[in-house]
Amino acid sequence: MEQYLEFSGIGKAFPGVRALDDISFRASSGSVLALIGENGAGKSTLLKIMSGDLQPDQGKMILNGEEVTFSSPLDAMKKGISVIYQERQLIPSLSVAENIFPGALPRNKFGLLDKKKLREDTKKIIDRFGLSINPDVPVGTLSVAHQQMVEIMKAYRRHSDVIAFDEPTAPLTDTEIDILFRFIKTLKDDGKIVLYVSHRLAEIFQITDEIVVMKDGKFVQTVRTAETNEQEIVKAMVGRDIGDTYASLSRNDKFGDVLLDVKNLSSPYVDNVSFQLHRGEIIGFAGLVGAGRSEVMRAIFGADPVLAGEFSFDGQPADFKSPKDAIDAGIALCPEDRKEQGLLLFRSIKDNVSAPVVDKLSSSIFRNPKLEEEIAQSAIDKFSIKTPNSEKICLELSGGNQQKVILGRWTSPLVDTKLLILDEPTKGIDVGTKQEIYQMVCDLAKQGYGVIFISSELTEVIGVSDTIIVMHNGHVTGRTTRDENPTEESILAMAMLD
Amino acid sequence: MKENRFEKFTKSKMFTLLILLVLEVVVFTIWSGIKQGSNTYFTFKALTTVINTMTVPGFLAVGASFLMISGNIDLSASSIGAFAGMFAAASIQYYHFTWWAAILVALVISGAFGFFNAILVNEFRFQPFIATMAMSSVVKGLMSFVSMDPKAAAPVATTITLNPNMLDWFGASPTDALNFLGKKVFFQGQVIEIPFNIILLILAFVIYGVILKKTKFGMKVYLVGGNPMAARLVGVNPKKISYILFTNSAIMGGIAGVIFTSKTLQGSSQALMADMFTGLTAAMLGGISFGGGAGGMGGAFIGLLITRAFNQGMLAINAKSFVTTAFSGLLLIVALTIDFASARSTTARALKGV
Repeated sequence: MEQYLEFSGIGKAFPGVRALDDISFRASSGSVLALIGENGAGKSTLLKIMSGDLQPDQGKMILNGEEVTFSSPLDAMKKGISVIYQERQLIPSLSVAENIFPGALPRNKFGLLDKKKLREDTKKIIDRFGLSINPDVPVGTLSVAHQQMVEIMKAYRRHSDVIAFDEPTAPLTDTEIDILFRFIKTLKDDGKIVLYVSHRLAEIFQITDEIVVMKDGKFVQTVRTAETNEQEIVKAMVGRDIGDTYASLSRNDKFGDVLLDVKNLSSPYVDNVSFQLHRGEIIGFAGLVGAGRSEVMRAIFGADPVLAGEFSFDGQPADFKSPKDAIDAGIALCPEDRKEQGLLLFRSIKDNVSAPVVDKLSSSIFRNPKLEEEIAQSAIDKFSIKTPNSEKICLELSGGNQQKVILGRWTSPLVDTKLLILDEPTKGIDVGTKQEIYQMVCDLAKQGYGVIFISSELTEVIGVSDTIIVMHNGHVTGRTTRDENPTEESILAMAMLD
Repeated sequence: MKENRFEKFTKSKMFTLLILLVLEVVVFTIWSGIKQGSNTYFTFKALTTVINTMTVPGFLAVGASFLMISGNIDLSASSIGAFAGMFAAASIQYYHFTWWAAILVALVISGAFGFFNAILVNEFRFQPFIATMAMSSVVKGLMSFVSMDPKAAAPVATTITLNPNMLDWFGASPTDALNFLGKKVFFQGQVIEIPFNIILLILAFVIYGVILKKTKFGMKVYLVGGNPMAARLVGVNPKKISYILFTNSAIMGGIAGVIFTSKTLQGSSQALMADMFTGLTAAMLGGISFGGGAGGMGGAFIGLLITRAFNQGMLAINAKSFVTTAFSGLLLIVALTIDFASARSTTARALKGV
């Protein structure tokens, strides 16, 4: 008998917003269904309804012919639905086995924990997925990817009928993604209903059987993955034709003199890194997660100590003791973790834009509200940030607009930035806004900024950068330029080189 | 959609707090009327008591507010204050300091304790909670040591009682000095003197309020409290802010302690015992979040009025002291609930916005 999960007319409203409107589709066992849409399309809300976090205002969910309602995530879990979020829900200090069997630990005849049986049962599950993880090690010591595997095995152990993934590959390296996909295939072969939410189109075409497209809280269409292509899906998502994202970029072709000259730089995390960046040039840093790209930047920015080697910036030998020194010299770092390290989430756009120049805005001890407003407004105009005014709290902005606030912060008239370091600037940002950000980056290069563009999405690095530097394990393992027409395969080969 | 100033004000937290204060006064007025046969709460005498008991927790609240906005906490300020009060009393009684020298040295030592708190938190990476709790105990021990009469054959820790003429400059008692420093105002047809210390307190709230909202330093306090990592990456030095604020909190504690001594003419080991609690409750009621990055001095001041009016209310309805203690705790729970609920509603608003 075929198993299925059906959504029928699901609706959900928050004050002022219709998050979901009449969503109906069916996910069947033994196949992987992708849920796709721009940010704000309602994917997360739908997942939350599935997992019992939220209750729908309208419509119903039908699991194998029976209508189901969930009062809480625990309730949904008991009824056979597991949602695997980006944030792990594991206990780092407990072992793999204990994490897989929470609340169902086997007991021996004295009522105590039966460690032997626990280990055997866990081993069975690990073997089923063809992994080599020791059931006894604390989960916290595993790699991010393996932690995710533990999370999946946890769902498997609960005999969940439905397993949903929310952006599962975001923290993973390419090899780890392969392991994850093997996992998903195993689940599929076992007749599970798998839902897969991701921004990465390439993956969706690789792993899923069906695609459900959502837009603005509404259901757009279901298509069989084999019968469509990326262009069609993007068009359905954004409601317009995007064309070839990168070919249409208007680029800078005139480079200035050398802005940053790094020679044999070593820090606690990277070894012997050298490169040169000109004014107006975009250098892309490619590599797997943990290759040391962000760490090179932290050393240049004065956030990590430089152990050996040297670099000069803007013609001057540089040795920054703190981020403040680097900022004063004209370097801006837009960190990978926008919410944790980049933005002051609970402050207004105005405060976020004026934060680095607060000392320059006035010569007395007092702030200068008029100038603050001016530079905030100019950032809002320059980067077309969608907001009613500059007082809006950044937490309430979408990811793309948050990224634009950071760009606005470092390009305001008073900050005097010469080099912009963008670490994963499009992470978690929807397709339409990504394109906008690529063009903004190219425009900044045209204005004479040197740009370092770090990204784990190879297509993006290839599409945006003038020069590409590939890193692996803290070393530079390859370089190439746009003229050499690099491909994903050629870059990946350099990134995996030892 | 443009809101006018009044509409905006009615939606602010300040407005909610003011309503809460008014409600509190009304409830206690009626309650005391029922219980005592006549209104013993909303009276001139009660008002002066409220004002008189405000300064000590008030100064602690000023220091605590700044630290909490920057994402830290200091539990030792009241102990440091008690030490400062005792030290001022001892230096006058045993070593014949003039009053201003006694106060000055007491405040410098207080500041040093605060600086040491900052070292523990910043250099040794102690949790502020733990560091200042330990510091609190150290300071209390030192206080007993300071209180011993060096001329006694076998010195023992004691309470130092001062001659009334020694330290009344800061005090609440209407003296000639106070006529000079205090202000005469008319209230219900009577001339009263507002004690100098309350003027100092209001001045402190105003100055610190301006620092927080209008100066570059104030903005940095908010930035550090909101997200220390991000603040560092935009060139703010969180360590520097932390050193300044821990030292400041201890000096505020010191001022509270010296005022206690001048009002009671005593250096007492029991001084400021309950005031840390009141100061923190006031700050939190006023909307200063434990998590940092939010709140302001105006809110903290109304929070302080609420806690004081509450205590006075418990007296007016003749509540047993243990009942008052229990209800003070409840008040703190209410404050924390407000903090929690508003944090949740901010997150909910954000989710809605996505």
